[in-house]
Amino acid sequence: MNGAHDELADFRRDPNRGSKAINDHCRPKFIRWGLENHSINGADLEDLFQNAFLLMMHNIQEGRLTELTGTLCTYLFGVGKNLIRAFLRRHRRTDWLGENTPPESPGNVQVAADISLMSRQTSDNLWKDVEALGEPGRSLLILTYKEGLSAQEIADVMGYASAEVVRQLHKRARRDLLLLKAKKVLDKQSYQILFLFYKKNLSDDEIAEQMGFSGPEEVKDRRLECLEQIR
Amino acid sequence: MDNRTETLLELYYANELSETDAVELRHLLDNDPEAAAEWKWQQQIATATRQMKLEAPAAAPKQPLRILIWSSLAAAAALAAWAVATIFMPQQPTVQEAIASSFEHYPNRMSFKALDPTAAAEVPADVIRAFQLYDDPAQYRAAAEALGTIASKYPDHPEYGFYHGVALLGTQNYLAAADALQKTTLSDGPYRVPALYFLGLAQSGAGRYPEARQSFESYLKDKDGIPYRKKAGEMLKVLAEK
Repeated sequence: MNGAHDELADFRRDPNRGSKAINDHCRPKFIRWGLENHSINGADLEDLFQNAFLLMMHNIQEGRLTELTGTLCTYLFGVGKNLIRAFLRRHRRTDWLGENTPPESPGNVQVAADISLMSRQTSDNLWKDVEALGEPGRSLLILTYKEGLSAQEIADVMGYASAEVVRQLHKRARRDLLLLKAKKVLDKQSYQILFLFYKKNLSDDEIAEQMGFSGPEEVKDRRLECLEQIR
Repeated sequence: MDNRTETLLELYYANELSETDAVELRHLLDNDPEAAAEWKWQQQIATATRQMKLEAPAAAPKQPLRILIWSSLAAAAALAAWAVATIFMPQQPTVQEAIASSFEHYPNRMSFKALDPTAAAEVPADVIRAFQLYDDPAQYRAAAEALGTIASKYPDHPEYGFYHGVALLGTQNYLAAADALQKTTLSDGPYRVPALYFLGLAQSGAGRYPEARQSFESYLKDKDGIPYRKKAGEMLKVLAEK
């Protein structure tokens, strides 16, 4: 058993003491290093370190961090560097549309405006559904959409084997979130269509046969209507 | 939705989309209703999650991971307990919710705030600027940075550290807030007791529950621990289950 492993075991035994040691020794080192090497201000570096720490706690608790190759502080630096990389990308975003807006269909500006308005109205409720997803879905979605991490970076900071694993988990989280919302706003038959498509992975053909629709086209139309309703 | 659309959306949200990719994505969104629907959905999730923060795990890892059988039994027991609690007991707020409702802006009690401009000129400009930022809760992040700077620059003023801690707490930067407030609780002066309360909140946010309980209890025991008495008591109730 090496020293690094002991440090992890010590942290598991007494996380309060471990957190304090990290806060006293590792946090200032990380902030100093960040200030010297990146054009990020102290408050943002504090946030990034806090996120690295929270991810480490999740990884320990959920059994994805069971062995250290260095110290806990080295581990936190590794997580923190991924977060910094995403942070810098986010702030140097290529303004390829000329106005730093999401891609919208040419000639379809009204749709984009509707989306924006709808997003503002629904996001207040949607976050509750994201909370209801629990972990790891909650963290995966925040790391993707708020922190701007790629699937590979999320795999690195959350201790998953590969980006592909993250993509699958991400897809599952989005699907579960969609079904959570669908259950609240759709009638039983409409929900059933989405459930069979997203959860049971049935094709439109199979759903048509099972639910007595005229054919896959009708199912597809119904499905897209359902999505319009819940979005 | 095909793999290419998935890839392009992933690149978009990771801010790695090239201009060529962007043209391709726009073309897809125009011509594929499934892709457009998925795009709308992810935009909604993005809007919702941008208001959220990573949080500490529900329970701090107090023990090494148990063997699988134990975990299954524990999970079943926890589920049963949760079901009973959900049906029969009043809902207790989560720690994060409790912190959100217990945190309030500590008023700026700096004497120079009330001074006339001539007298205020005796106070260094960076101090005045830091407290101007602090007076606007929408500026907590900038205030935390400015107050952190003056707290280090003027160590004879422990009160700067206190306001620094409160501003950090306002940005939900719990670890750093606990660090700043801890120092104030060790100093003498009028900020020691309120610092105990805010320290309890910071420690709760950082998942350091036993220490948080201790801080709230110290606050309640102190004869000056009056203004936040009720809130400290409510926090202790929430933390009792942790």
